[in-house]
Amino acid sequence: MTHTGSDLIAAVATPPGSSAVAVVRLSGPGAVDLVEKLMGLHRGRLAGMRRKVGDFAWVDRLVALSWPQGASYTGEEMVDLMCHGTPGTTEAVMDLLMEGGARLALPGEFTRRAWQSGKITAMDVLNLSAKYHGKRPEGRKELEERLQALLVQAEAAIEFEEEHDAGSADNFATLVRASRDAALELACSAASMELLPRVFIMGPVNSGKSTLFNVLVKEKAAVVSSEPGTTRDGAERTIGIQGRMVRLCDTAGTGGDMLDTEALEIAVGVMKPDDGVIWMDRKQQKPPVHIANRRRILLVASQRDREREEIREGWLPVTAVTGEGMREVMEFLVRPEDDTPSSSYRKAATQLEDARIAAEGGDLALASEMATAALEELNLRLRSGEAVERALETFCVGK
Amino acid sequence: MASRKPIIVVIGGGHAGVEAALAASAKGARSILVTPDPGKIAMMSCNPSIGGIAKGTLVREIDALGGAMGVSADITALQFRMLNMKKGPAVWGPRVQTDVDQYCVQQKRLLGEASVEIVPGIVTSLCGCNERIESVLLQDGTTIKGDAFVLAAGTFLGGMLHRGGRSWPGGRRGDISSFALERDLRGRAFHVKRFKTGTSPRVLRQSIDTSMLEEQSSTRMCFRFSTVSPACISSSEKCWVTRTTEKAEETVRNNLKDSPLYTGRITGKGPRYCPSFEDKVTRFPERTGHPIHLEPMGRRSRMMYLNGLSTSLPEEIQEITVRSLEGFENAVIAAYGYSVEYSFLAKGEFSRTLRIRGTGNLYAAGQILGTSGYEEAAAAGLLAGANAAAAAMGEEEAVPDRMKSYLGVMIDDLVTRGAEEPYRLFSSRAENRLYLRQDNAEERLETLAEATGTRSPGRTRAYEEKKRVRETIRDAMLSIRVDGQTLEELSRRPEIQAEDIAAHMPQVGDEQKEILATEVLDAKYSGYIRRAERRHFSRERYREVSLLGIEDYSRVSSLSIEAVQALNGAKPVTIREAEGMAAVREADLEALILHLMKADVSRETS
Repeated sequence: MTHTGSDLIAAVATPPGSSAVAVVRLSGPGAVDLVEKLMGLHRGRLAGMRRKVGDFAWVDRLVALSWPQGASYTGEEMVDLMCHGTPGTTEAVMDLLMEGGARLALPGEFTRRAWQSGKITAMDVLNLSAKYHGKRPEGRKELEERLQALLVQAEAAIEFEEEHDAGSADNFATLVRASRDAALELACSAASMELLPRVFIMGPVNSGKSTLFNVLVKEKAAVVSSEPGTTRDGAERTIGIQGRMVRLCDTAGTGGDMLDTEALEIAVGVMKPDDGVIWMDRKQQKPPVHIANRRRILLVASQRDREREEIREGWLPVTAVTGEGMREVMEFLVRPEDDTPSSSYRKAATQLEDARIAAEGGDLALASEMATAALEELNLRLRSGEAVERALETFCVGK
Repeated sequence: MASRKPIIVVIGGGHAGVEAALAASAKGARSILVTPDPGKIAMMSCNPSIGGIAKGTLVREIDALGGAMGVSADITALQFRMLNMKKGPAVWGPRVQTDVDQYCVQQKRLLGEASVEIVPGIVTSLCGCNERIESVLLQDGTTIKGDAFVLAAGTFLGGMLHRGGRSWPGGRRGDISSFALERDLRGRAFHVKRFKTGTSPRVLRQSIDTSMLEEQSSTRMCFRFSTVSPACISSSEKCWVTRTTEKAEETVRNNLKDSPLYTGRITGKGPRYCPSFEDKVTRFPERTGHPIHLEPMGRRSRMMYLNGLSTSLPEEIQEITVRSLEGFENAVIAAYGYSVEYSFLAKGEFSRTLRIRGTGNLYAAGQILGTSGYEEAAAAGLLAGANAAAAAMGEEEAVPDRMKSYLGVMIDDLVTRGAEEPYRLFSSRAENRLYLRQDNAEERLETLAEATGTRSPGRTRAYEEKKRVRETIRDAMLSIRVDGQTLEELSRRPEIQAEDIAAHMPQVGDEQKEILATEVLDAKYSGYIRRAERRHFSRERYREVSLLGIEDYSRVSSLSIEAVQALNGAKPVTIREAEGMAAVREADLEALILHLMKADVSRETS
């Protein structure tokens, strides 16, 4: 398995309106099964291209094209259905698919799945996104170059504009606006490729995992429908905290006082290095070493309403029912977002917007400082005086 | 012997020499200033103006240290402009056009008041070993003994003038230079290099028709460089701007073969920010109409300076070029432009105190450090003079702080990076630019002024009084609240100006408004100022850490390819050395420090 938690998604893949042919795309586990059923085919008969109508008969005569898992665009089982391109037809086809268990795909979701399954690279996604927006793809490198040019312009304007007509505060304002937009666009592209941060709730049986999970889900309203469990008997929900999304996974713990090693192994097997763990234990016993050594881990001493034991160092007392410790839990849940590429592009964009305001307000020196901060946010900086050195090479200045 | 005042001998009577002599006197030493022509002390050999972006702020720093440049610039000003008023208070650049002759008179008067002894003569050699110089020998055979010495000979140190096909020794038009002293320095095994600079032709005022030219207006505001100047600078004289014509550019292009810059006669490197007209035309052929500023040399002077037309072409070509400018059809050139090559001390030959390497009582200031500009020279002169006196008196020498002054930025740049071309200050050389403003020089230089001991008791008292007011204002800004925010917090909002804060502080009188404005700016920029300081100190901590453990720089992540090649080739011993390498950029230094930090952590945990 290259991905977990994927469900069946469908969408009209061609533009709205009338056309000779329209394509409806279906991707995810069970895609082929569903189409075979709707077309009245025997199981396993939809391989490659088929023209048979079945349930679709009253809608349209259509052609289906199928790919097995691993061979399609999304990397999942996938079917493209070609029908007549009238709004009524595509809508009716979609209705049948949704009745059969598919859900409407989110914008860009096919491409995101393609990236997640390793069919395409992050760069491909950025380039695709740029093509869809009718722009030449602009990457980090271009943004960096743009920001450097911006600083050279600022320094030239500060040192030389007044007397040598070199550099221009107006040019700076124009450039800073364009850079801000480029940074925002990169933030969006990056965000579309980032997996939501994921946190697993783990611990021995009866430690209150499901209680915490349910409280969080109830309070923070699941914004995306339930997805099939990542772990056996487990549940996964996407919740929103302080405007940021987190995927929360509950793992099952069975087997008396013993850990359910199988459930644990399954969970550990699907975990990525960036995934967080909330380890819950009434007895405050150390988690297994491969859990304890994870980068993001929160040790929770649970059910404080029932336990009398002293809180040990490094453990957070939490009582889900009374709300004790819940603020810290939520802070832990949203913390990793600060380190993602999209958040650093977003911060850079904010700093560039500040720079624009400062420049238009007549403080280019401050604006230059802010643009430098944006550059730094992307892990790059000009040495003091470097910008002016470049300005000297670029502009004719001097008395 | 104990009661005898130490004697500081200053070699050179330019902007560096004057401040050096005054600073030594202010500290209680006896200053002797040796110069070939006492009539030309503090002469402005190039453009008749003082200040500008960063430079104007430096003049205020000189003033805060008790120096003379600001006082004299205020008195002798012909016109005042505040540059960059629309680019933020941190980069405001106060500048005056100066009456060149009056400036000389004024500075000489201050030397007299400070009892500086002026000795006419040309120094040919230093006597004594490097560890202890005993005296200087003049061309006429006299010897002047001293306890410490300041070398500030400017372009007179091995100076060679060039114009057209002609070259002749000299430090300035009409003045002789000193090759003997330069030879003496080489003989003492100091590493000496050559720079080149140039100047523009001067024309007779009445030969020019300014009626068609764009007038350069002065700034209407009350300004003075010096806190002790009684009145605002007046702007009584006019300046104009004209542009070079295609004919002028064509003339230069066709006659490059006669420019010593292009025949290989001049080998010293010149400044890119102050290029000759030959350079402008050659390096930027697509550009025409370079601005030329027409500046009066003095209230009574018949001469006008053509700022922007530095050239060393032959006289007749200069005539054709100048006369092709609009309004200059009948121009009479009173003095032709020329280039000058001179010697300076290479990087590593002097320390942050401006003492020359391996010497006990020999200091340097001005162009000998590789700098260019009156303001840069004067500031260094003040520091060198104060430190020479300190050495003679057995006191501790002063070192300026890069985070607190342009003087500190300049000295640090010269010592760690060295000058690849004549060095001048730019505001962007300062990491802490939002703090290094012209409005807060006294506050920034407080510690250094104490260390140099060059500020007069009267000024110190006035400063202490001002400081008290400042502290009262600062306390009030922290305690007065508007809508739950303190005035200090309110000041940080971008749209809030000093007047908005003043509205909540009726107790602040008009004469204290300037202090309040400074406080508001400090609050506004405080986040950036603290960030710059934090970064600086973390860099300082790593400066002396050894890099020898790194065998292959390609293994250090995030280094640029150029940096990897340069570092693998040079194998610098410390971060400080890596900092001095041109191919190593800021991001590379940060990557190196990150690498060292990681190494630290792994050593600690293993």
